[in-house]
Amino acid sequence: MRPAWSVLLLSGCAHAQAPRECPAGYMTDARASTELRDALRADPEGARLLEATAGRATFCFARGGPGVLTEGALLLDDAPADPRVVARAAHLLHHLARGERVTSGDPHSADERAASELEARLFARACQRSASPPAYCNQVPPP
Amino acid sequence: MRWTTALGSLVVCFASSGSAWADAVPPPPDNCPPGKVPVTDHRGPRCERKAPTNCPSGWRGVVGGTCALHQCTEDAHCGDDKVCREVSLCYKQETRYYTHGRNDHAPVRGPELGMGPPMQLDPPVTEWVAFNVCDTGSACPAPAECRPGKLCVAKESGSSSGSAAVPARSMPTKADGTVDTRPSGCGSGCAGAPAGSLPGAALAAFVALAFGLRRWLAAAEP
Repeated sequence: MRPAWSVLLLSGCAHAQAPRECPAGYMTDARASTELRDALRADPEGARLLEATAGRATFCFARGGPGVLTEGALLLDDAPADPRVVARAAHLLHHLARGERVTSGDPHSADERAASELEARLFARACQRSASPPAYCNQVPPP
Repeated sequence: MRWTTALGSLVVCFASSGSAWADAVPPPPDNCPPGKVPVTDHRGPRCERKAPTNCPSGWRGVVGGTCALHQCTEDAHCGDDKVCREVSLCYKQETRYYTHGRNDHAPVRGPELGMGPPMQLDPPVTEWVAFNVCDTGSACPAPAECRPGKLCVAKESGSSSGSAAVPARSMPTKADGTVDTRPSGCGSGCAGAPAGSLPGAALAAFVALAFGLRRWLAAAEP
């Protein structure tokens, strides 16, 4: 019976953060969401994160969106093709995949360091894939 | 001296609130008082003043009740009712030792990654940051400098082609050299105005009251 209990517990954890509607001021833009998912899927780590959080993430867009996660909603800047937004989304999906509902904000904590390093890797690869990389891509040294 | 201790505690209490820089945060509040909107970001959930709709040309309203320069590189950044135009902007030099990622007020983006926790910049980065429009001498006091830039400015009403545009306007400079980004014609009570929050106002009133009481007590002493 132990494996059955484990499966039950794990599935319960996996649904602990059901996707929520976008808060006021944010849009659930289907086109932007598809663009962002495609960009994440093009990256090996991004694709794994999408798979791990399937059905649990809602992408919400607004100009200057802060790049935070709240109850399964990723509040992002409305520039889904921007390598920084792609990398930021991966950072937040990393927290979501680990079931982290509220993070410490401490850049030295293990979870935050891992998420930030992942973000830097995603960013560098998104810049490399871009047909016309933005100027700031050249200003950030590869990780 | 008990009142000074109480005041000190109050200041520490206000100063320390909302200092965390989390990536996963609680949702925004369900309800806010009139004139405010629910928000959540790295500083957590709270109610903020609505973005004003009466900012001058070249500026846009931001949540919190102030106006921010509406910088751009092309018309696509400006929306339907504005166009991207070259203007003279007032820049000051700023040295940053930490980064939280990109500057969310500017579509002209810097090299930073997302908006995560603060990361130390080594070496520190010194850059020119635009903070006002250069249309009068007083708008850009030294050591700030007027340099070329681009802003989204309002289209002239009746202009469909977008060729005619309302010139960008500066916002007033305060005595300390910073710009008063409250929309004009707005008193302290109006929706689009002052950055000051209710706790800030309450603290100011408390301090004024405490000083008044102290003076009164000193005067009353024989």
